[in-house]
Amino acid sequence: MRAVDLKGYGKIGVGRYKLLNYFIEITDFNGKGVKYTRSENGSILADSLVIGSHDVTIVPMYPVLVPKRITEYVLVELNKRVDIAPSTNTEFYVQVPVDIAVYAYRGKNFTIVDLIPGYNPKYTLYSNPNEGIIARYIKTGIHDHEPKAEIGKAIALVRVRNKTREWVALTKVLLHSGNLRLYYEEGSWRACVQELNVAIDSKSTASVTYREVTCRDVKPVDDPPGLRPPRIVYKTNMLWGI
Amino acid sequence: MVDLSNITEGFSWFASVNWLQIFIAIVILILGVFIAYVARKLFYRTLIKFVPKTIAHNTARLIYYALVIIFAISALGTLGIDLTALIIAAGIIGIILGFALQSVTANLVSGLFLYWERPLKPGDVVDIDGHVGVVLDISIMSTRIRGFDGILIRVPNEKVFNTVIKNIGANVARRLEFIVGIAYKEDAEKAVDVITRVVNEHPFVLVHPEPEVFVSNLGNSSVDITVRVWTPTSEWMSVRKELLWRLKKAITEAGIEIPFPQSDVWFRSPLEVRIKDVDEKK
Repeated sequence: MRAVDLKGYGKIGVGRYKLLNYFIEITDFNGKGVKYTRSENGSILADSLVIGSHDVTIVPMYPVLVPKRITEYVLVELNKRVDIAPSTNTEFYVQVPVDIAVYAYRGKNFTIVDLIPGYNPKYTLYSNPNEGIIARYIKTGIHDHEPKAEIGKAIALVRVRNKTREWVALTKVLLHSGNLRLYYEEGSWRACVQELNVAIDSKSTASVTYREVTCRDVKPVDDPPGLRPPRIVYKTNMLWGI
Repeated sequence: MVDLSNITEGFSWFASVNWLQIFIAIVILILGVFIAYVARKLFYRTLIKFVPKTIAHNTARLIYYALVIIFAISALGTLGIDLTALIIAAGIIGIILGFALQSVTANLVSGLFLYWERPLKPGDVVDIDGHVGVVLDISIMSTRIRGFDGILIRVPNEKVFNTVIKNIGANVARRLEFIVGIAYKEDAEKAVDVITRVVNEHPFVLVHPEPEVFVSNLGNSSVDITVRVWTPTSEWMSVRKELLWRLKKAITEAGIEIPFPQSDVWFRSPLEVRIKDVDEKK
């Protein structure tokens, strides 16, 4: 069967699809459900039977579950340093890494059939090995307009406020997946997170707060159970460099 | 007729008893048990915040019995009982027990110091005196480790306290180092490029601190390239296994020779080789 290139997130039916380097095959299972297979270079990486549902949907996923859940943090490194004058505000768009999840729905209930790593997943250390944290990593460009949608990347509007009375250089933004919300547009690879407000408190410290999503025509991703524990403070502190 | 004076004669000692002293002794004893009980509860509640339940329970119980004994001795003292012999006997028993339980005491005290200093905790991957494994628990007398081969190892606390402890899992990231030897005829720059590509492709090789790949030694048989990468501590072993395999594969695919040790042997005088025919020998 010829594989069809997947063009974006959303519901997919029975058929054979190409997604990144993988082939996804969905076949009917005696009318009772579907058989799901994901393979790469002939070797099967995911194989499962879904009973009681034919509704298979591709959605963006928080970038902390695959290849392995080892952190809750995401570090967005800017490809160029942003020098910000004292008491100045600025805003720009960046890209945040996302993975891909395959959900099977029955009504509003769903289960995760497969998790697919986004483009070239990498990790980094924020601060030193003794007191630092491991974070999922992306190096992103700085855009004055919403960048073109790309598979494995979500768009984020970053508003920066330099609260100090001196020049500061911003090179990175640390995010916590527990505070992030993912949104996506059906039929395209456009995914978004909320507006991120970065308040710079000193030359080396800042705090990130999470506002409402600014992207239009997007719908929220149904959060997988257990991903988001209740949180009291919806803020991420950057204490070891900005 | 019964003579009542004979009956009361048997209780004459009753009048000589100092009832006030007995009452004071009983009050001291009851008060002592109560104070010991309260002290036990207080110590337990305080210690449980810092040390495991068993340690807190045993220490609180020890304090309870010590206080009860002190108050009991005080109560006996108020009754006018001479405790000198008792104290001397207790002292001698104490010295004998001290010698007999020297190692037990050392382990106990070491256990308390380990709780204080906290060089390791349950769940840590440690190397204690060559025993590598996961710490299961630290009791008042010993530390139990589950080795990677599944064997349970009990290390006395005194030994843990006095030896070098390598806490492998204490930090979030850990460095990994390989030395890759290539033949002298090979292009070292190409080899460094191949190694760098493989290293950067691995998801769990951290971007920061940056991986280092450099020629570190011109050895007897090979040009040695050192590879230093940082990985999340939890993934250290899997990265080590995968990366070594990927490096070997990539270097071989790039046509770069990994030499084995070789030596040239020179003879001071020319060698004479004689070839004998089998028939001639006969």
